[in-house]
Amino acid sequence: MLNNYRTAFLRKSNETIQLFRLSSNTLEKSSSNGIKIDIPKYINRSSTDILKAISSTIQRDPTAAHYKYHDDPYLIPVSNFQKRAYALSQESGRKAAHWILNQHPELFNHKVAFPPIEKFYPKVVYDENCDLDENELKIIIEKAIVSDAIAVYNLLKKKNIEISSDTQQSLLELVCFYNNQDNLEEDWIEERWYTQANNNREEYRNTWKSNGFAMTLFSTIKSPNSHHYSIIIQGMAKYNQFEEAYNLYKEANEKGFVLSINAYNSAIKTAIYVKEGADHKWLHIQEILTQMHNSGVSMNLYTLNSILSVLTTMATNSESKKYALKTIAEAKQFDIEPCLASYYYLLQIFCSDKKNKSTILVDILNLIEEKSLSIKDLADINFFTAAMENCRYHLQSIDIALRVHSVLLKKKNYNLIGDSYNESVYYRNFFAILCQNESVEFLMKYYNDLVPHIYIPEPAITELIVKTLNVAAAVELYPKIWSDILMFDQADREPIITELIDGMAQNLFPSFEQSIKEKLGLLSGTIYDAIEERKETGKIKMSWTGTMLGNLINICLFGDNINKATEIIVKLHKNQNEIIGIPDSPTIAIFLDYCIEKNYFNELLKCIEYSLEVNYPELDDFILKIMTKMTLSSMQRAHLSKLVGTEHYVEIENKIEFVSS
Amino acid sequence: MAGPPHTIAHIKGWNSWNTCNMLDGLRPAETAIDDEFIRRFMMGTWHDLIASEIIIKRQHNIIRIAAITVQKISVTKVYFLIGYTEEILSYWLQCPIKLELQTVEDRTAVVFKYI
Repeated sequence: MLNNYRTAFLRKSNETIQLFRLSSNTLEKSSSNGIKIDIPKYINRSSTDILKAISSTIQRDPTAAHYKYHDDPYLIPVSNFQKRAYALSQESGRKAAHWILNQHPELFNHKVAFPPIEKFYPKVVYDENCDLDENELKIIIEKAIVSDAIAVYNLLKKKNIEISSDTQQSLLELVCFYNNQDNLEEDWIEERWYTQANNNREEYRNTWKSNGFAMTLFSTIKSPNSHHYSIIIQGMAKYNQFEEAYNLYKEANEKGFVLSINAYNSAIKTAIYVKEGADHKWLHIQEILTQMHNSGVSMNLYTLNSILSVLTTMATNSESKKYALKTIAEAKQFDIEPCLASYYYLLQIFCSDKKNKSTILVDILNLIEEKSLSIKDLADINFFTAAMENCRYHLQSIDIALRVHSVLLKKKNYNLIGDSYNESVYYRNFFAILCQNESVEFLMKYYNDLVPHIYIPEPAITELIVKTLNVAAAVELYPKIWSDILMFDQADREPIITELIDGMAQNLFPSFEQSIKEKLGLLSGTIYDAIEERKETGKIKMSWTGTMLGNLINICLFGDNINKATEIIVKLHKNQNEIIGIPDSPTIAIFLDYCIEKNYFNELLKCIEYSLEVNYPELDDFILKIMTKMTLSSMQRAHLSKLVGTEHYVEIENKIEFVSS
Repeated sequence: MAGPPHTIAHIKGWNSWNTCNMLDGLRPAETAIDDEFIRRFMMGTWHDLIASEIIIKRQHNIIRIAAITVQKISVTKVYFLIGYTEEILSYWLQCPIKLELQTVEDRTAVVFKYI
């Protein structure tokens, strides 16, 4: 009964809600009384948008190694060498598998996946027996496999199959873009990350294959039109065959062709080699710009970048800054916003002069700080490295460096760091500034964050860090830095060891807590052992110096590590020929005082033995001190006198009696 | 190993994780064969290095292979084998393969119980 009533009520209430909804709809039209609901327009999402949204919620975890490494203590790299070796080893394993696939394609012809994943199938080999047509060639060009495209084109020619001019043109585009050879496949991520840097750094070296397929194809085209010219000029300029590119440009101009905008941009770049001297280069640029103007082609971002890149080659000329600003102003009229590459060139143009410091970087930062950056030009990836270098050498300002760093960490900007080389140069400069300018706490904040998973300091930077610790007397950090030095495999670098030991010895203050003192004493022992071990295996070539060992003795005594101190004294005594110089006499005095205070007679004897050998001028005073300050048994007395020589011993004894009487 | 099959899901887990044998599951027989192939491939490629069962987990079209290995060969060689195994199994099974390895210094570290 109650249930029935309830359903009836529910039904009724539903009806009222429906009614209410209907009425509110009509109400909305008639009056503005109700709350207006704005239904947003449907946004088209791609299939990976959700993944992107999720990935935007996580950041790089600095406490974990990069995800390409296996998450296991044994498999995580701890030095730059290991990082590179592990990543490339994995890739070389993948290549081995790839080789097997291509060597025995007949074994991998089964098809089990649906939809099929092309990448997992063996490569198709094209030969004369294949049934080929133009469509096949189009597909290969679409896939951008240069060698296959060339092979198939040749086969089609042989079979006298007509190829449409469109396909011919896109084939020319392909071979020009890749310079007639297969690009390093995108699959080999690590190889690209570790080697691409070197390719880019061979600046302006002509790598264009002058008798390559592209040229043959170009010459077979009976009446090349403006497209063909544009393509080949771009290809040549991309691989730094500037002279030929310029000649073709002139040829096209004579024929009255209107080239594509990118071909004009390439032609502008030829100024780097074709013309000499700032004035000629600028004239060359102006000529082409006028030509563009006459042909009704308006500039784009790459025009701006090509002009700026030419200007960087004449940055020593005072006019170049003026020209650069002019160009930027011109670009603004066309609503062209400079990209990171443009800023990179500007930095080079404006900061080449060491005397007149330019703060252009600050202006650039003001512009890009709030923006989410994306790659627009290949040279974009040079910006952050150049900016940090600018902070270190040109502006020498920690504040600006931190601003650059915060821009890099914003949004997706880290993708623009480039490759491993750029990244390490960036952090090298960043740490150098941190070392120069700020307190140790500040340096260590970044150090703990970035080292070792994101960046491992190079030896020169480690040395700088050690120096900073020394200056700030940050004694508590020595054990950490030493274990890091060991981990990064830099304990065989002489400047670092010397700097570390010197610094430690200078920072021994009696006011330290006992625990820190002991830690230092032990640390100096481990440093000594580690260096000895490396010397034995031949990793360290330098020989010990007396001062270094003296410093180690000082630190050992400071931390009550008498055993190690004695070991070093014995080492000094035994290997006198190999050790350069002797420890200072204050070190010996400290050692003796320590032994007298703690009543270590055997250790004391070893020290005296060594001092006798070296014959310190203060030797008599040392013995005098022992005899007056230390209560010796007759046995010990005899021992000492034997060591010093009986006559000499009596002499000193008399001296004491003389003084006391 | 010490637990008999009826203790699965009570004191131990499965060696293969997939949904092929559920109602309307796809490719139950093929999956079993594939799993056997993967296990034999792993035992042969990682010869004398695997110290545990090989666990095979399938999610969508991804296969994750987990195992515990002994630290007997250099780390670079381990990475080479990881790359090789992932890639060649991908070619064979035509889906993405991931290896999830943990390492132990000594085989005895993974002995939980002596009978």
